[in-house]
Amino acid sequence: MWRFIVILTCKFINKVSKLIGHEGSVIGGYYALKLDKNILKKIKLPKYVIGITGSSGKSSSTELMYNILTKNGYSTVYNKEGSNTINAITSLILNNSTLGGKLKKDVLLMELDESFMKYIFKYFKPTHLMITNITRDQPPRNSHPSKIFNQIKKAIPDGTHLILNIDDPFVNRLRINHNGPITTYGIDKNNYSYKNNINNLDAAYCPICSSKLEYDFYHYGHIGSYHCPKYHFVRSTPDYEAKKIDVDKKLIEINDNKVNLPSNFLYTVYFVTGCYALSKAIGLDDKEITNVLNSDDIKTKRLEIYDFDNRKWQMLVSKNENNLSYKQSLDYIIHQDVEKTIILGFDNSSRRYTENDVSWIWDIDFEELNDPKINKIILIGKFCNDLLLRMTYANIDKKKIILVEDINNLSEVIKKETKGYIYSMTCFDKEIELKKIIAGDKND
Amino acid sequence: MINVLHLYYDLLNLYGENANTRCIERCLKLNKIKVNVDYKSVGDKIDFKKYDLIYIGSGSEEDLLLALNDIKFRYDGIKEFIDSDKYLILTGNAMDLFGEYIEADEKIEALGLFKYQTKFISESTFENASTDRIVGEVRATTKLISEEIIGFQNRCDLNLNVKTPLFKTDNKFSNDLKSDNEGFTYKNVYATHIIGPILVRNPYLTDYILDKLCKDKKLDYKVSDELSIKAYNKYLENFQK
Repeated sequence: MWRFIVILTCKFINKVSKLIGHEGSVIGGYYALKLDKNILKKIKLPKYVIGITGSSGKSSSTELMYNILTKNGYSTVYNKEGSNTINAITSLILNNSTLGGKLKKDVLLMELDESFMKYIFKYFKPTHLMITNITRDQPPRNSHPSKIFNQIKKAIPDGTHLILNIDDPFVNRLRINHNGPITTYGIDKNNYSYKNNINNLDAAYCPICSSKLEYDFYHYGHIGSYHCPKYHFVRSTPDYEAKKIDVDKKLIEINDNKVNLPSNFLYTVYFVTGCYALSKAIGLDDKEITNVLNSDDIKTKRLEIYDFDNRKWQMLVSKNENNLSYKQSLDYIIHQDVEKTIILGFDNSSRRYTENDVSWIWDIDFEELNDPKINKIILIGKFCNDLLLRMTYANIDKKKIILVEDINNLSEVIKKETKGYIYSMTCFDKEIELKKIIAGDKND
Repeated sequence: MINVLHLYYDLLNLYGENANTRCIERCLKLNKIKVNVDYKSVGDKIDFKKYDLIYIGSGSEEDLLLALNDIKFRYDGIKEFIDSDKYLILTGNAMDLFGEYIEADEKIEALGLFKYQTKFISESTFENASTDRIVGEVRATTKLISEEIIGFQNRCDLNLNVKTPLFKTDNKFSNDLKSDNEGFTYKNVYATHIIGPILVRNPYLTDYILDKLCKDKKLDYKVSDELSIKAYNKYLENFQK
């Protein structure tokens, strides 16, 4: 009876909250947990309870997985807005449950925050858990990858089927002593891979004998193909591996099946291959998966491309404080075979907190901006002088760098002093200002 | 010629710390002084006599202990290095390696070169369980220079009984969270909990240390990095609270 009341309360509060204009995805769960903190233990969950977590790529993976499942006839509920706190997950589950306490879908699919996961798994166990990667990400909030690893490791219950990206040695470590089935995925060498001696590697040492890992190649950061010199710990051949990767043509093969990519970014290879592995783990066959991945109605990433000064201008969001995501966006820009001008900058390191840590700009390989196809690099925002220093350390030709401290001058500077396709990679607030500049140009 | 060693470059290099040896290299080159930077880590053969300056950055708690296992075998070389007035710069939790012990889940003996002790804090240290680390923008002062120090901390270590701090700061960023003492200094050892590119961001401090080092070596150090000074001033202007 009490369960009935708690579920009803949650549904009711969320409805009211929505009616008065709020998102309504969190507050109901908050009150439900106040009434009964063990309510989630009392819900009959569906056969498949799937979690997806990691430092990056979890939203894209969850969305693609939702498509694969629903188009194969599995009714699925998932946290669409990525709300992944315990209150949000409670709301999600109770809103979709009968008053008798049964979640009436085939699959519960959840994008999960690495740090909050443990609070959710206290109440129920996922049948499947996919982990995309563990990297430097918002250090003021997450401190460092080793801590994220420990939080994920501690939260994983016995018996859960893990789907792991083994190109990441941190993720691969989760296999050690896991009591339950494991499916692995990874991607083969491609034209984004490189062999290099870089200094800022995480998980650089073997977790078993502490020898330094040796790499055959890197995809980015510590993600790549590695082995311990004594072979205690290796990136073995994954169960599902993307091969014949052509990012520009958006084509890969997974275990001999041709697969189309939703966009020409390297990270899409990862989330598509990850979802492939996860789909196989829950019993879908190759055809069921490729039918969805290769269908025309699969949502491709909408590129933000605008017209300005009779030129094209593509906007990318600056992934501040995640050096590897930031670097992948830079890689993408440099990889485009056109003469270009790049605009970089930010006012604050984070949207989530007020502390400004600029350490992360030293973990990004800006040296790669020494590229003849780059006409100019424009630096904007409150930290433009720090970025200028970073560019100077990267030995970028002084004549190519323009500092624009007053954003009101930007439009003029772009028109008069730069050439080529425009790529901007800025924080969210700056992006709004840039869009105004583009709109202003149209009105002239 | 000045010889610099970035020790544990692949292990204690968590927050863009590679910037610091790059900064030393750049500033010396601006002054037309020849400089060589070596990168060494666990298990590497190191001749400490070769170096004028050693830098060590911050790492995860796990990696710090990995470095500790290695540095214990280098006690004699490092002691002689410090005793002969050579330069040691430590950022983040690197200073923990040099105290008497580190108290994590268990008490682990450290190098014991300096008479302070380290304690890792955990979620139970704070009332609010979501903050189990000391994180934030730091301002500090020092007797070495008149200009203020700027930087960032992200740490979970407390250092107890430090008698000779490098900086003075707000007690929420101090060594023990009680006094206003931050970091540690002795002879030419400069240690702080500030992480990341501290030398790039604090050109006046960098000039002080490098000028002193150059005087020891009878070299002329006169030119400052103007770009670095401008970024420093802009930060103070934009984020003056």
